[in-house]
Amino acid sequence: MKHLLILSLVTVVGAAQADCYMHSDIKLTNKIVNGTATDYQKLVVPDKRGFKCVLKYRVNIDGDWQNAEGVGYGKTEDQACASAMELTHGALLMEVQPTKVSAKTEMVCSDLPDIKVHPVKIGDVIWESETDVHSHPQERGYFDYKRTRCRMFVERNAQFQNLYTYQGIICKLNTTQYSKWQVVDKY
Amino acid sequence: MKLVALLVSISLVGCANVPRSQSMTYTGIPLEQLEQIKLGQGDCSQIDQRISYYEQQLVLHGTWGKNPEELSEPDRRYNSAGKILIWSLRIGCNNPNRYKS
Repeated sequence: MKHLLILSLVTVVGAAQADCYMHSDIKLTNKIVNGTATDYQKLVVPDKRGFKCVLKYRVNIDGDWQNAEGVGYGKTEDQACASAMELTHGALLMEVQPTKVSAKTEMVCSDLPDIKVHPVKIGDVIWESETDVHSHPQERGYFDYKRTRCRMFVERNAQFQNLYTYQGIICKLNTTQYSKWQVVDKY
Repeated sequence: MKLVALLVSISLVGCANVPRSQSMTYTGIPLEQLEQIKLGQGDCSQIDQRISYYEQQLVLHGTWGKNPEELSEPDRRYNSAGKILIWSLRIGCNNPNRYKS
């Protein structure tokens, strides 16, 4: 029995380190999300209705990137993922907090890469939400450059006891929903 | 006018208040001159020449193609001033609806 308990505890701790999230009750709407959802990563499995598509993606709420997940079903993979992509089918994922885990908690663990904001360099290929949105709301919008979709970003970096604020430009590599972005400039 | 507003708003974020180096030598127009350039709608008709000119200043200054972390503070500031002009033209001239309220 003691072995079982230890195993359970180890499993819970291990799961928390393997990018696990709790499903929140917060349903997404266009009102609370700035712009559109981005950085879609999909996991498709067969289902009795055809296919089940689980989309993990990122939404920007009040300048902060947050993880969200949408689930859709369909006769084809495309149908299932199109359904999962609808914002109203999505819910925010919250960081696992052991004090809030209960028997009712629905936990989501995934091997898909966890996306976080980090310093970037010119030429890096990244997910859009690996950079912060611009601090001026007016500068957060997308723009066209060389027929690609681009946006400005800011990066706050502490170096030699100084806080530097850089800004830069990232552009989408292609027009698909699953496209990554490239850092085309930073200054 | 909208380009000027864009330039001002970007400059607020892009430039830190750091003392300039007195001993730095470089080729190209001085930083003070670069920072005082105001862009207007008229610059859009000569966007290619304008961008080419600002790019050339950064090449002459030795900052072209470098990440800001690699640069000294005066060079970073020079590079930032030039890049702000370049991107103000690229964004403002090709996205006329961007700053419409």
